[in-house]
Amino acid sequence: MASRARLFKEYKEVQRDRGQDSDIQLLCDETNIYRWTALIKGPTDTPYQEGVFQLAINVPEQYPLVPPQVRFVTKIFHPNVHFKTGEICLDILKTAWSPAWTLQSVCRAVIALLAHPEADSPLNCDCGNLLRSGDNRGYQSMALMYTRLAAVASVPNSSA
Amino acid sequence: MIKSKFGTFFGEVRTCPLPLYFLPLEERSSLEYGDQTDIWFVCRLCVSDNTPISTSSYHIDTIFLLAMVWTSKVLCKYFMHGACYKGESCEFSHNWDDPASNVCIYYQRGYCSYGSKCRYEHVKVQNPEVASAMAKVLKAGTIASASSSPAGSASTPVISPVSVRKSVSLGGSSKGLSSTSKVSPAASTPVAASNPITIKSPSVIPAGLPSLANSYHGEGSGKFSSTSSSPSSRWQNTPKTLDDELYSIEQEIEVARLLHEDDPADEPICTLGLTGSCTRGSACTHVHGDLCPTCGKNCLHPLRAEEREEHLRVCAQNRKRLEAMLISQDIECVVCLERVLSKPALAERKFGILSGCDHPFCISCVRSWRNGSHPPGMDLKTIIRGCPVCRTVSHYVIPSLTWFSSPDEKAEIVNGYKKKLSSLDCRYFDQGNGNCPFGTSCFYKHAYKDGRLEEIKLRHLGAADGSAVITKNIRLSDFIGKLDLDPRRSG
Repeated sequence: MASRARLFKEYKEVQRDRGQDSDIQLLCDETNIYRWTALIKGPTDTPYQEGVFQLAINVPEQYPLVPPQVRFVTKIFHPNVHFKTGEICLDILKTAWSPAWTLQSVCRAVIALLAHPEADSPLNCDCGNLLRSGDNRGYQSMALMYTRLAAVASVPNSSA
Repeated sequence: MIKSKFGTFFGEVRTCPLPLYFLPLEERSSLEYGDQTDIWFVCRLCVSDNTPISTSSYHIDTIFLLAMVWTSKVLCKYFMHGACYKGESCEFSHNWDDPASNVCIYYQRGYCSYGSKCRYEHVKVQNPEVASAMAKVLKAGTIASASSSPAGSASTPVISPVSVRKSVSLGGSSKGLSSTSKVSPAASTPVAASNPITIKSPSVIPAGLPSLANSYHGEGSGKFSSTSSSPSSRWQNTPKTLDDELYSIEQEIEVARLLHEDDPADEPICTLGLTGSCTRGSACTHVHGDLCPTCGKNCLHPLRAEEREEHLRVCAQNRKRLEAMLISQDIECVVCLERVLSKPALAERKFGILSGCDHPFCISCVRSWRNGSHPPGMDLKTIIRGCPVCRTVSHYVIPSLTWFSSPDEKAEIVNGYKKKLSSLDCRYFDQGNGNCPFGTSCFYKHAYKDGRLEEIKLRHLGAADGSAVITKNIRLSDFIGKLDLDPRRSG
């Protein structure tokens, strides 16, 4: 039950800071506090900058001792995100988790991951190979295309 | 000294006939009862009035006793409903013959906003039963006296050896009981005759009486030892206006008092002077204490050097603790995001200090993070043993009731904790029978049955990179044990 109390705290915090951090929009499922949705803006100077990506956050009962499960709902072309399932390969969501992290800071970490792709531990091998072979232009254009295809279209929905 | 089921008490007794309540922790620390902070039971009226208790610190440790005396005569309200889970150990009476307490405490103070609609009884407390119960218990304890004086307001049945003493030294009504009557019979008899034993608190005593006290002090000091042997014969002559029981108790107090009368250091401090409200000033017959710079009360007895030092020490300690508590009050745990000292469970209102860094956690959060089950792949040494905020590795967690504001305070807390642990026997070492995995760095005591401490022998080995490492005990059996060569070992 410690997880519930903590999530309520985070919920209040999110409500209070609403609008302050325009890059991250955290929404809690109205019937289940263990299910959250986040909308994050792609970082500037990356192929994702025009897009808004939806994340599905599933919080386990043992939270915050155990990290939340986060995955991309919006399709994204990124070396550390599984192209089909949206699974994210990020150390802080797996082995380097710390209970001092919040859902807000997890989202911020995901944004940072978009800005700094780690091609050496890829979940999307095609994307990883493009980067590792030095074809930065190829990666940029592929990522931009998928951003425009999947993420930009959802902008009107999210702002509505 | 009084022995009761709550423990042994030293000091004097003040009675309040009203129900006593258990004081919750928060309220306990917020009240200022001199240097006493361990108050558990208190009468609500006295707390809200704040006068009788706060000006006198002497009755505090016996409040337990009062609770016991009073409550054992009152029908338990849970028992009335057939649902007292305490059973025989309940401090309230489980006897249907005893009356239930239904007295309105606000009415005692003179005003109850519910008026005639109040569900509690609007009667002034005159509790002879409680008083006689008090007398019996106190007799067993042989230090204090009790009586009831129902005539006055709610605060008058305040009886204590101190007040007895005071009224004696003031030349008040109880003078007739003391041997002073022999010293200066002409002065004291009229008073004694008019009001034989009723004992009043100092504030009630007429102002004209100090002159009597002076004569008492002046002439008396040398002669008390000779008179102290014969009070009993005199006692039999006194009119029987109160229980004989009470007489004998008074008598004992007198004897005890006379034995110590010579020493002015035994004079109690003026209780009114404690808060600076004594209007008599230098004319007051009591000793006026010096001002304590910490608590701001005139509670330093000028003649008791040891007590002064003790008070100053305790007072400074309490102040320090209070300040630390105030600072700690607002500190939030980084994991559960709650204020540590406001957590719902009492057991969780404790900080867990990491040895390596200064980030605040509550003990339950940091313990469950370090000891809980983790998904595979998490590194024990860097992630789990590290601080969740800064990842500094800490090898142990120190529980503490307060947070620290300086490295010195932290060191003090840590050392206090280690000192406490080093007095406890290590259960792994098991007085030499077991093997402690922490070896020489264990915080607990490694002592053999005869009290001898384990010798610390460190073995240094050169590691491959040239540095020296300290090894644990290595035995040949550790290597061959796995082979099960010895049938007795494997069996």
